[in-house]
Amino acid sequence: MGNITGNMYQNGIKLYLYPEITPDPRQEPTFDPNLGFPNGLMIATEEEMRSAKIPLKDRDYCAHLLLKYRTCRKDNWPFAVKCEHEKHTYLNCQYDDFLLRMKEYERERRLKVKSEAERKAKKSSCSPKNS
Amino acid sequence: MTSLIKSAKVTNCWLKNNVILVTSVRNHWNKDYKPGPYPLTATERAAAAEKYGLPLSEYRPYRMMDRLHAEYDLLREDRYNVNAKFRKPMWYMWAQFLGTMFGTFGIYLLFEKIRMFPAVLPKQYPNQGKEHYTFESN
Repeated sequence: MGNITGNMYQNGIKLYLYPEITPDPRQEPTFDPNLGFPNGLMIATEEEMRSAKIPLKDRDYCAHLLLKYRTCRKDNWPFAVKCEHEKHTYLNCQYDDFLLRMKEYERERRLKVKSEAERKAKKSSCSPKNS
Repeated sequence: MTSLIKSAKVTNCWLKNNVILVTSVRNHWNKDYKPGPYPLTATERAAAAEKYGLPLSEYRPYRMMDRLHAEYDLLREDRYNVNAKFRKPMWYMWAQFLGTMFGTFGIYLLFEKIRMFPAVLPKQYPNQGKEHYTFESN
């Protein structure tokens, strides 16, 4: 609710007014992602996903849970309600994925603010008044 | 397909013997629905009365003038006000219309540049030559 009534409009206005410190949601992060973080872990293999005919848009870092969920549904059909645990795990993974993207945005924004401040400081220190 | 045609044949046979059904279902109209020409002379009048099986004294034909509507005289010159004035002047109504259209288009153009979005970066997919990570310290 907060997103719809405030944040999302504000994001758009910020992107319009201050594009130098606001990340664009359509573009990949511009900073080096490898700043002391281990790489993301992909568990499901390409062959598994292909043989299970997982749609391309679902072949993300949660695909192994989706595979488990689909297998469970197939085994238990028509009692698909038995797979509530698998479904819950999968949706939680998707939620975490979205959370990561939000964190990624915030990280990008803070780094942009930081580099902009550094640029300004450098500019002012280079001016003849200060030297 | 043949069974369909066969069943159609059955209904056709049945319809052929019910002319009223054929007209009402297939054609909706029949030349006999239209009255003959208006009888002008006494002999024509007598012939028409005989055609409809009526005694001459009871036969009173309608005078159908060239396909006029039944209520053609609802709005004629005596009732229609040629000098009627609009509630608002014409320029005002045009301004209202164009203001609405261009105003809406202007708002659309403005918010093409300022678009709202949730604060997330694009979805991450593996094996695309990009480095992804979780935010755990180890």
